Amino acid sequence: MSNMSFWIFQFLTILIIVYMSFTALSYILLFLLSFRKVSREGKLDKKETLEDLAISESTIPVSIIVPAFNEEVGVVDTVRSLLTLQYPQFEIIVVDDGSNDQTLPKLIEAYHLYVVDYAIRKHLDTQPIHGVYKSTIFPNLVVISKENGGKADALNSGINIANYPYFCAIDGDSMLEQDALLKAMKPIHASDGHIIGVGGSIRIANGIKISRSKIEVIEVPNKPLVIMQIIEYFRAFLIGRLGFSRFNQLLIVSGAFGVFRKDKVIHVGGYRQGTVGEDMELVVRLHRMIREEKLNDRIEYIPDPVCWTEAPSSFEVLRVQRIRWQRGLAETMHLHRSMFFNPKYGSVGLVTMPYFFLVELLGAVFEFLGYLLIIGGLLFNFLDPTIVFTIFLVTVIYGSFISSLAVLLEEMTMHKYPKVSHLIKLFLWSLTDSFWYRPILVIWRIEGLFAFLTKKSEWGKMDRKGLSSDK
Amino acid sequence: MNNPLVIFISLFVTLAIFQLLLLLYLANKKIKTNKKLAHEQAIYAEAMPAYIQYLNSDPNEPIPLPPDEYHVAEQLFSDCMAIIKDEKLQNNVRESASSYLSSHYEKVMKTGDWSSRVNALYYMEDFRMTSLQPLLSNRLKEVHTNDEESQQLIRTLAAMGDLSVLTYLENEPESTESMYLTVFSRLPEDVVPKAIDYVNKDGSLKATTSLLMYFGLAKNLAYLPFVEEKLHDENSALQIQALKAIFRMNYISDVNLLTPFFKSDNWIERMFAVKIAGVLSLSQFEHILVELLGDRIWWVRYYTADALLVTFGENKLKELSKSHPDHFARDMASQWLTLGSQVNQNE
Repeated sequence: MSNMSFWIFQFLTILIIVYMSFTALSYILLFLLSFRKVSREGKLDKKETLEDLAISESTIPVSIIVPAFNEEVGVVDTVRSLLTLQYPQFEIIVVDDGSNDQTLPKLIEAYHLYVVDYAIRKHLDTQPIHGVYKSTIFPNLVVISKENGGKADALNSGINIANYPYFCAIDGDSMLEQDALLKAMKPIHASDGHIIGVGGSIRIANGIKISRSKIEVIEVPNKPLVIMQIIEYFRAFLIGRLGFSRFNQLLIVSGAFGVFRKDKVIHVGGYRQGTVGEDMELVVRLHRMIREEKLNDRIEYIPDPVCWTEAPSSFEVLRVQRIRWQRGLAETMHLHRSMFFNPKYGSVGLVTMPYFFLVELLGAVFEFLGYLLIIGGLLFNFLDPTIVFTIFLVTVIYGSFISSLAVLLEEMTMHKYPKVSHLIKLFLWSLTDSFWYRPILVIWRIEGLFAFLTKKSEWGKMDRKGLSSDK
Repeated sequence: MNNPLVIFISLFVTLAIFQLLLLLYLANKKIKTNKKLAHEQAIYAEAMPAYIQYLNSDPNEPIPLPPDEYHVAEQLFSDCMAIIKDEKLQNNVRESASSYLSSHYEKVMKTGDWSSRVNALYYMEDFRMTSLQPLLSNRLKEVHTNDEESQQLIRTLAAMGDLSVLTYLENEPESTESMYLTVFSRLPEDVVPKAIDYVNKDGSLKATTSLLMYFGLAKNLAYLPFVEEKLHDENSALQIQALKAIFRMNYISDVNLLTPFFKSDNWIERMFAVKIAGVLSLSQFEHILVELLGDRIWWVRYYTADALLVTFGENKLKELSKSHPDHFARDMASQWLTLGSQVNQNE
């Protein structure tokens, strides 16, 4: 090997070791910053903390918007579970985004919908609306049937029709815990409207038993691919988001469950159409607004309100999902590149956006190089075995150890999985992270980057089974 | 490169041992917690019927609960408070809670951790444990952060009728309207007149708007003069809150008080004037309502159509859906013709 190649490999090796060590350390620091608060609040009597909001007439009413495109399998159950939410006043707006399956007929049949003549305010431009339906059984249920325009367009249509000052966006295949909306709205109430966005935790529903619209039994599923996604979600939500939220730097509120102040979202132009990461893009735009208009507003992540969602159980569907996510992240970073290192945007521009770029977006590239060096170093001996072994150790710490730590942190704070066997099973599986799950994800995330660069889009189709176990 | 390798091996081993120990600790803790939960559920199941029987018998008997089962006691008393409607029996439950839990809570407030203190405060409020009021007042003076503990201290003290919390909120820059509202809605009935005096004399804008909000929610006509007086206030925020309160109270002593608000430059004032006209079916404002059906603000048009439907019936709205000169007004009238009739059917 030439001297030049040797130095290039040497440089790459050091770069990857430094990068992974820095990222792993930053994850741990971010969590430690908010661990005390989450841990002590986790011990509070849940029923008592929410009692006030649950019965008060002064509780801010909320419009729940459910965009649905070809959700015939789960949409009726999703609406049924939403109707049983503990919240004093809310409306449910299901937006059928031009589905070509039985989504709308199923809703019409299940909830006895009838067409209403609706004078809609055009706060935001959307695709044409075919009809607005109300339910004869549930006065707080509205269904919009519209021309297909994508998720952002569907959400904007819901915002146009929403009657209340806050809206909660949830996916058509998700299910909120009964008190999730109360928990999400609690800090908003306490802030007198200065919290303009709240994201809750998303958990994987595969394995849980839902009956009569309530979660009855929580189990860890048997499919390794799904177990790894459970662990990955712990890692994403408990490490990172908590720390960013504490400093008003939260850049992601998951599209599966987020609450926003309607007038602020309208003020920034609603969800952006033509992007696949409309949830993150909106949050970044709200941060822009906060900094540009020097507002005292905040966007927070609250770990306790939980939304359960069905995760892909096949490699192909998961691949398409991850490519889409990575592409969405890249698009948002690109769209808001003017915020990078721009003092006008304070710490969001100076620290958080560059951090996201380096860790969330380019992380896959660094990890990929790390795996290449390990494999290449072993097969072709172009690296000293001690160096290969060092990268291997760092990769395992960065992957498996952070994941297993996330499992333990979940147990220390939220402990949603009731049995000891659940804890052990999740912990043991998390240790395998670096050896198969992360390498696969890394490849898909790199594919996502290429998809962004080549503007290639692939939505794929989620094979839904529905969340309810009721027949 | 050997030194870094040693560092990473050491780090790897340390992390592995740390996580393994943490796993063992958490698994052990989970086993204990699950056992404790099962134990408490068993005691609760046994104690509930015995306690219901106790409530209806000689009050001098000891409470049928094993000693030091504070979690079970909290659950038991709290559930009884929720299911028992008889005031005398509710007082008996409060007395049981006071006798079983007071000294425990005193200890928790002095030496317990943050979560235990906050949980204790929730129950002290539920059980109105007034004997602990001085202790809580002192604690509020000591707490310097605006968190769940300070907020719950305020709520609990308000439920005990302690008006010093209003002074506390007035001096606290982070106080919110929702916190004031929380206080007013908890004050015992006999303390509310003193709160009104306080707000009239020393109250901030936040305190006054929150008091108006509370009057609207309480729907108590005894407070109407205070609310109507604020319709004449120079501050628009107070006028809006007064209109909201009147709308919720469903009553106004003189309908002419509303007239200026139909022509207000502030659309929220116009909207509430219309809402009040609708909820009270004030037919004398027919001309104004027809005009406001073509208001430039969607919400004003929306509630005007509702008011017209409720006050004058479907035919009036049908006529306006065809003849109103403004096409937004006609659209809104059409919407309410389908929407409103269905709402009425459901009602």
